[in-house]
Amino acid sequence: MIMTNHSLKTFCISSLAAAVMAASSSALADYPERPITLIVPWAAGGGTDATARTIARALEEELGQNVNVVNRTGGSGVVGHTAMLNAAPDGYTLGLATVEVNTMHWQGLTDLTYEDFTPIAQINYDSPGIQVATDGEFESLDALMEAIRTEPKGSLTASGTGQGGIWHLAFTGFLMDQGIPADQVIWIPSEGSAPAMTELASGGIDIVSTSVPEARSMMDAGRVKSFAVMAAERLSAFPDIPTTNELVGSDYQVGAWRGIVGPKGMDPEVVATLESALEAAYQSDTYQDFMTQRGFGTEWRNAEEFGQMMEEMDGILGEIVEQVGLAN
Amino acid sequence: MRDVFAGIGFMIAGIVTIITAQQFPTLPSLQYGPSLFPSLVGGGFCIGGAVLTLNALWQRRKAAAQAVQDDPTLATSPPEKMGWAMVLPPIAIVFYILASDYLGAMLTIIIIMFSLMLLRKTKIYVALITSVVMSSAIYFIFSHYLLIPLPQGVLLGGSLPWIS
Amino acid sequence: MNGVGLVLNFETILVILAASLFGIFVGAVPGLTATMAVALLVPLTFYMDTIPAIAAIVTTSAMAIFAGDIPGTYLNIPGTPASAAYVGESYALAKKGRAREALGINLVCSVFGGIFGTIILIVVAQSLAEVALKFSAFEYFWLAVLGLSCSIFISVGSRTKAFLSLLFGILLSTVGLDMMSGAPRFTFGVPDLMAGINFIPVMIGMFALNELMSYYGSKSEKKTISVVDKDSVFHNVPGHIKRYWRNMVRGSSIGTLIGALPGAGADIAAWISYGVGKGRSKDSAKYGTGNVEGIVDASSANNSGISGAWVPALVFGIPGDSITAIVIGVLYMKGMNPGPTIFMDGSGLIYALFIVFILANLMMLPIGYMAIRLSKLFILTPSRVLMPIILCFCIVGAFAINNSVVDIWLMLIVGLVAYLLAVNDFPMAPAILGLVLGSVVENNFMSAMLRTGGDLTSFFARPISAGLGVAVILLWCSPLLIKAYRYQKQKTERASL
Repeated sequence: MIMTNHSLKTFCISSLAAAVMAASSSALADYPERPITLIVPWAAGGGTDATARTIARALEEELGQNVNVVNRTGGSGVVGHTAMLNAAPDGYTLGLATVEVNTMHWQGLTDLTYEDFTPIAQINYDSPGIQVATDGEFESLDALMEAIRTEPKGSLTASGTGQGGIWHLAFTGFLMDQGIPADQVIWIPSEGSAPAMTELASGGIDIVSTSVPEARSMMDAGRVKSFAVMAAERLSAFPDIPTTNELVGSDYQVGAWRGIVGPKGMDPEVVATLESALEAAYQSDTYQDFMTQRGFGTEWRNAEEFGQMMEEMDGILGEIVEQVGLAN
Repeated sequence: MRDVFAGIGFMIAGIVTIITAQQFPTLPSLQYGPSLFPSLVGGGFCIGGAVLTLNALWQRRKAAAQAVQDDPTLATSPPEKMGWAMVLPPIAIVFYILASDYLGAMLTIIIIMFSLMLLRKTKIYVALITSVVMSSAIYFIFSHYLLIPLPQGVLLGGSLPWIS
Repeated sequence: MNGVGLVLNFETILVILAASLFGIFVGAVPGLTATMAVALLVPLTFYMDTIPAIAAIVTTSAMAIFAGDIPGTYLNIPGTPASAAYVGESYALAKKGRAREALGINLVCSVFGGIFGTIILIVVAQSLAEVALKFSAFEYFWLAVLGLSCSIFISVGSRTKAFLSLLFGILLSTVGLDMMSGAPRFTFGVPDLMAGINFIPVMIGMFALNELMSYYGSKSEKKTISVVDKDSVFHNVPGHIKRYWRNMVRGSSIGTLIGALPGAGADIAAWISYGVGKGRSKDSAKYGTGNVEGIVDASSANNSGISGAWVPALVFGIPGDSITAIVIGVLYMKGMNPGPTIFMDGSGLIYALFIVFILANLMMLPIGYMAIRLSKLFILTPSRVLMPIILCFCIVGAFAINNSVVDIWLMLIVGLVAYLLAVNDFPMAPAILGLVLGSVVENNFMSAMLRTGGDLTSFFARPISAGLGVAVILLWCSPLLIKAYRYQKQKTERASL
C-alpha cells in the first residue's frame, strides 16, 4: 500500500515534471514565434540607429522572424533605456543599449544601471579620436597638449557631444590621465558630432573629440585632421591615424560600446538562442560590410563577457563623472 | 474683460515659472545656467501679462466713457455660446489612453468613431460601416506598414494579426 | 551624360511614382512627418541601387512637405511647422471657396522652389557650403532670433498676444534635459519628458483639437468651407505668377540659403520669407486674411529649403536637416561618400542625383494635382463622419511620433491650454515657432557665452554675426522708426504750409 502510494506519487511528480518540461521545451523550441521589437534609444538616421537596423536585418535572416526597430529617443538615452527595462522579459522586446547605461545613473538622471538588464551580446566598440581644424594653429598632438598645459585655464575649448556624454568623459579622462586638471579645457556641449564639426570648421572651437568615423567626411574634405585615436592599436579603417599610446605613451582607453540587451530576468535558454543567432548575424556579410563601409569598429563579446565589460566600464566612468564634477 | 483675466493668468504663470527655475543648477564656469531662459520667459510672461491687463482696463474705461453717450446694450457682443459637447474630443482621447491597453487600439478607435458619429445623428449603418472600415485601415496602415507598435489589447489576446 | 541613363529606366521611374504616393499620404496625415517617412524607407533602400534609393528619399520628402498643406488648407491643421507660417492664409482662402486655387499656387511654388534650390545646388554648391561653414553659434543665435521676431512681426492682431504665445512655445521648448548642463527641467519625474516636447503632438493639440472642440461645441452642422464650382486648381496660377514672380524668386533664394545652413531648416526659411514678404509688400495689410502673396512667399521658401539642406550634406557630409542626416547614412552605405570628391569622381552618379532631384520635383505637378482633386473628399464627407476620423488619426499620429502614450497626454493638455488661448484671440502659430526655435536660441546663446566667458559683445565681434544682429535690432525698432519718420514728414508738411 505504502509502496503503491509512493510509486503513485513518483509517477505523478515525474509525469508532471515531464509535462512541464515538454511544455517549456516546446515553448522554447518555438522561440521566436512572432516578430521581435528592438528598441533603439537614439534618433532615426544616426549611427546607432543604422547599426541597429543592420543587425536587425541580419538577425531576421538567422531567426526567420521580423525584427522591428523602434526608436525611443531623447533625454540622453534615458527614455529608450527605460523603455527596454519596462518591457516583458519574454525575449520579444530587446534593446540596443549604448554606453550611456554606464554614465547616466552616475549623473543622477535615472536609477537604472547595467544590473537591470540581461546582457546578450556586444556588437560594436568605437574609440575616440582627437580632431582639430586643418587650418588651425596646432601641428601635432604634442603641440596641442603643450598648449593645453601652458595656456591659462579655459582658453581652449572642445566639443563633440552633450554635457556628460561619452566623448566628453573620454576626452576629460584622457586629460586627467596626462596629469592635466579636468577643467583646463572648457567643454562646449553640442547635439552630437555634426554640429561640433561645423563649429570646429567655423573656428568656434579648438578641439573635437568624437569617434573617428564621425569625423570622416570632414577629413575627406580636408577641413579636419585627426591627431590620434585612443585605442590599443590603429583602426583598420584609418591606418594612418596613430594611437595615443604611440604618441604620448598613454594606455588610457575609454570608448563607446553598443550591445543587445533584454530586460532583467530573461529565460537563459532564450538568451542562449539569441546569443548564437546574434553571433551568426554579427559574422554575416550584411553586418560586417556595413560596419566596414561606415568605418565603425566591430567587437564581439558574448553574454557573459559583455556583462563583465559593462561592470568594469561602470567603475571607470563613475570615477571620471566624479572628477568632472557632474556626479549627482 | 477676458483680456484682464488672461493677463493676470500670464503674470501668475510667469511668477511660478521663475520660482521653479530657481531650483535648477548653474553651470560650473558661468554665474547663470539652465535657469536663465525659463526665468526670462517668466519675466516676459509678467511684462506681457501686465501690458495686456492694463491695455484691457484702459480700453474698458474708454469704452465705458463712450457707452454713456451710446446705447450700452450694443457695446459688447456676446461670444458664441459653446455647448457642453465640446468636451467630447478630450474625453475620447482620455478614453483611448485608458482603454487601448485592454481593448486594443483597433477596437478602441471603432468605439470612439462609432459613438461620436451616432451622437451627431449619423445613420446607424453608415456610422457602423465607416468606423469599422476606417479603424481597420488606420490600424493596418500604422502597425503593418509604418511599424508603429499600436497596443493590441489584452481582450483579443493577440488574435489580431501582428505586424509582419 | 551617362547620368541620364542611370535615371531614365523603368525601376527608377516606378520608385519615384510609388514614393510620391507614399509621401502624399504621410504628409497629409497629421502626426506623420517627412523625417519619419524617410526613416521608414531606409531598410527598403538596402535592396535598391543607389539612384532609386536616393530618388525614393528625395521624392518622399518633397511630396510630404507639400501634402502637409492639404489638411492645413481644408481643416486648419498644418502638416509641418513650415506650413504653420501660412496655414491661416490658406485656410482663410478655403473659407472663401478658393481652397483649390490656394493649393494650386502652393503646388506650383513648391515645384519652382524645389527646382530653384536644385539649380543652386548644381551651380554653386561648393561655394555656398563654404559660406554655410562660416556660421557658428553666434550667427545661429541671431538667425533664430530673426525667425522668432518675424513670427511676431507677421502676426495679425495684438502684438502683445503674439509675444505671449511665442513665449509659451519657448517655455515648452525648455522642458527636458538641458543640453548645456545636462540637468532635467520641468520634467516632474516623468522619464519621457526628459526627451523634451516634440512639436508634432503640440501642433496636433493646438490646431486639430481646437478645431474638433469648436465643432462639437457648436450645434450647427454648417460647413465652414464652401464649395465653389469655378474654383479651379491651375486656372488662376498664371495670373498669380505674373504678379508675384518676384516673391517666388525671393522666397526660393531665402529658402535655399537658410536651408543650406546646418541647424536651420525649411521651418525658419518659411517664416523669414513670409516676414520679409509682408515687410516689402505694397499691401501688407492683406497678409493673414487669405492673401495669395503670403502663400507664394512661404511655400516657395520651404521647398527650396529642402533642396538647400543637401548642399552641406553633399559637400561636407554635414546634415542640413533631419532628413539629410538620414540621407548621409544611406549614401555611405551605397559607397557614395559625401565630400568634395563626390563632385569629381567621374561616375556620373552626382549628375544622376541632380536629374533625380529635378524629376522628383516635376513629378509633384501631376501627382500633387491628383491629390488636390482627391482632397475634395474633405468637403464631400459630412463633418459628423469626418471629425471622428480626424480625431482618431490625431490620437494615433501623436502616439506614432515617439511610440509613447505620454505624447497623447501632451497633445491633450497643450490642446486644452491652446483652446483657452485661442478663444481669447491669441494666435497659435508663434507658439509653434517658439517651440521649434526656442532651444536653438538658448543652446547657441549659452554655448557662445560658455566659450567667451559671458562676454555679450562677442555677438557683434564676427562680421556675419554683427550683420545679422543689426538686422534684428532694426526689425525691432522698425515700428518706432516708421512712427518717427511719419511724424517728421507731417511736421515738415505742416511747416511748409
